[in-house]
Amino acid sequence: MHFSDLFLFSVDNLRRRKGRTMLTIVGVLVGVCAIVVMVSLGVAVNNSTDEMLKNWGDLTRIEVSNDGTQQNTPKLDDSMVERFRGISGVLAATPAFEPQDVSGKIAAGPNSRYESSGQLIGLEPAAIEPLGYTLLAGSSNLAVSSDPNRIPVLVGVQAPFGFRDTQKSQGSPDAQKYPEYDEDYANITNLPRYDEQGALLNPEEFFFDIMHTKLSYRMAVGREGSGEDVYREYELVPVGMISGGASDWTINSGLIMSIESLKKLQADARETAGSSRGSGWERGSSTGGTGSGSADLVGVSGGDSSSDGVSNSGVGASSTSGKAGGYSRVLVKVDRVEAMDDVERSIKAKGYQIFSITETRRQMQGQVAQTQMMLGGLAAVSLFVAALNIMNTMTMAITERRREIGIMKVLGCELKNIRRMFLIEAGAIGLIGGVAGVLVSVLLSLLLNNLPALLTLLGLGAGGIDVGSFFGLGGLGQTGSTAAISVIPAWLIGFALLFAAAVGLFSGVIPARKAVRISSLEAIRHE
Amino acid sequence: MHHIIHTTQLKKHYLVGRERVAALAGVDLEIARGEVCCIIGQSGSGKSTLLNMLAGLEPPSAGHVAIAGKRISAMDEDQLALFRQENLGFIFQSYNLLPQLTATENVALPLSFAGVGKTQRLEIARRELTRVGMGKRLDHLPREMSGGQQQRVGIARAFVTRPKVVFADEPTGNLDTATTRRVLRRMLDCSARHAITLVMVTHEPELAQCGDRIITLCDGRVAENIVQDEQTRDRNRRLLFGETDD
Ligand SMILES: Nc1ncnc2c1ncn2[C@@H]1O[C@H](COP(=O)(O)OP(=O)(O)O)[C@@H](O)[C@H]1O
Ligand SMILES: [Mg+2]
Repeated sequence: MHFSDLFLFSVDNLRRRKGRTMLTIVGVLVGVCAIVVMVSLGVAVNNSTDEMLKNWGDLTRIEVSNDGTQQNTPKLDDSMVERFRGISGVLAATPAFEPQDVSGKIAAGPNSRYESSGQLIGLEPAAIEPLGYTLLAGSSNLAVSSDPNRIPVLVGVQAPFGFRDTQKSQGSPDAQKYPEYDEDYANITNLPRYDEQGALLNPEEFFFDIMHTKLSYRMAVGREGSGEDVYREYELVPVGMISGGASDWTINSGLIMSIESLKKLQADARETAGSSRGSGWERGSSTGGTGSGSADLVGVSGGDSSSDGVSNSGVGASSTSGKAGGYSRVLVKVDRVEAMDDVERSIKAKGYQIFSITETRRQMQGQVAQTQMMLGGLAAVSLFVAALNIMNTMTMAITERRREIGIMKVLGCELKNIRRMFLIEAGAIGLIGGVAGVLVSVLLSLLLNNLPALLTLLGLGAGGIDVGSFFGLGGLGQTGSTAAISVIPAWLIGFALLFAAAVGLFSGVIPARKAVRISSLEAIRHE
Repeated sequence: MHHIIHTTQLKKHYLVGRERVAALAGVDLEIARGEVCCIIGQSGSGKSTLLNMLAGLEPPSAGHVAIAGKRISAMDEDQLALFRQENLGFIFQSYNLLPQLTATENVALPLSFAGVGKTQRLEIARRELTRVGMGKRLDHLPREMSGGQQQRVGIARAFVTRPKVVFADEPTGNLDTATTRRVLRRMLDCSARHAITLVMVTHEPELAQCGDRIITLCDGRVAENIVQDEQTRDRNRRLLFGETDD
């Protein structure tokens, strides 16, 4: 028997029992609809977390840290960074060097009127471009000049807000320029903007144009006899302004220089720190007092206690960049999102803690998937009921058609064809229910996505529906109002149709077996 | 191989409550190829039981049935279905047309089981229906036809696959005398035209007189097994059909 004949025969039988078939189909429709809508909510939440995470920053950046709590974790040092670079898929790796023992102030303006204690960050210049920071002005060329006292820096986009007017009292509202946020509290509206020529477009927001003002870094190296602090001073030359994205607060508010420059600064700082420790703070300061320039001061103290300084520098290194020595933070850039899993795994295998948006995304998606599974399970119950319904319908149909089945057997219909006939009927109920369920789901999805608008239209007040919190992900509320609540991707439609047809087929197995067992004598019973 | 149907010591028991009822108590039969074989006997003599067993609708309790040299009593359900599809036709007392199908579709049904394509089988079915005088009712549903018309569709359905044997259990049991004669004549025509063996159960002895062989059953046994020569048979047929013309 041809499949097309079987199929037409089955469809014809379904048509003969329209009412019952329809009711059974509605059962499947409800089940499929429940599952599709549930899953579509989860898909929408995942989409909006993705959207949100994209704003947070780069999906292919990994922050490796060594908190030193693990005993066997190797040092996060230059050779380890070099090994990171060797991992396949890694585009660049650089320490984010933030020595805690280099503490100084950045000063600008006449008489160093403005002061900031902004963080200095040392990066490998070669890694800056691959890391994908946005260059807002100037260039990212941190090539060290011949003058060791002139250090090229990249200014973080929020660094200007770190400056305080020393001529105003500490608590005065005018003492500092503050960032202003938009209503969602997501973006700063008064960030510095530069045109093509490098001119500041909104100078009224700042005390000075950071890109065109002489910045000096002043490191306290002791105190004069009179009680005045003595500084060693460097000139910071801004070559560009960068943004690290919404989440990279350290980069945004810091000043970035080449790691080489920062190491030299650290060495200078240690020299003086070593000298003060070796000879005592008072003596150090009095020695310092003899020199008028900072350079002299360093020279003197360095010569004074070089051996002490060297031994101390080891201790200093460990205390500044991780308990076990080495850096406390390394940034790794991966060439594509797909490679993230492998790279993250091989870094974790070395014993380090990592942070990446991708990792966070994985955790969030895990959470959503869990909730989705739970809701999907609930929806599956209704589909299970639909399956029982199909079974019942088919069993009834077979009981009514005992004679017909008997006749077909007498006329030479093979058993496999009788079985197929009923399987097709059951599968068709499932598939039709699936198609209807998908259509209704699409309509429901449209309705859900336009619900706020509809509610306002009806005068019932709006307010977005925070599906995110439903999935255990708070804080998505802001995006929730604009983003879709329910998203039905093509794979979900395909899955729903297949699943519905499969459920139908499965429900038909037992009734079909029953049909096959009906005796051909049914045809002549009660003659 | 002279005989198309051959049975040896065919027995069938039924358990009715605790009692064992012997519907067939050892039947030995040989029916020749192309023969019209009529089985008569009183009600309850085992005619239907014998026919069902010959057609493989029911397994015997003991003994064998062979058709065209194949032991159908040893076949499983799958083999039997195929065997029926290829070799047997069946005409029911209550016609048993599928109510949702037209005359043509009903006749085409066994062809569709055999895998004949749609246009081809509908064409064959129409031709067959025309031969039994139903050419004007090709697209009628069973409920739109009289009993005699329905049974003619049934006859077309049984012969359309050109089987080796057609079985009929009281095919005219529900019809009046005039219709009975017309229908019987169609059956004999079809059988003769294609030399198809016809085994027909009836409780009317005068109908049985049209057969080549008349088997009388009594209490599950063959009481009489008469073979008529062609002259007697044809004279009997003329007597029966003489006054009817269709
Ligand atoms: N399915 C059955 N169960 C029990 N007894 C049966 C069954 N079929 C037939 N019989 C018995 O077998 C005997 C023969 O029946 P049957 O072949 O139908 O006779 P006929 O067709 O000649 O009237 C009867 O006594 C009948 O009661
Ligand atoms: Mg009978």
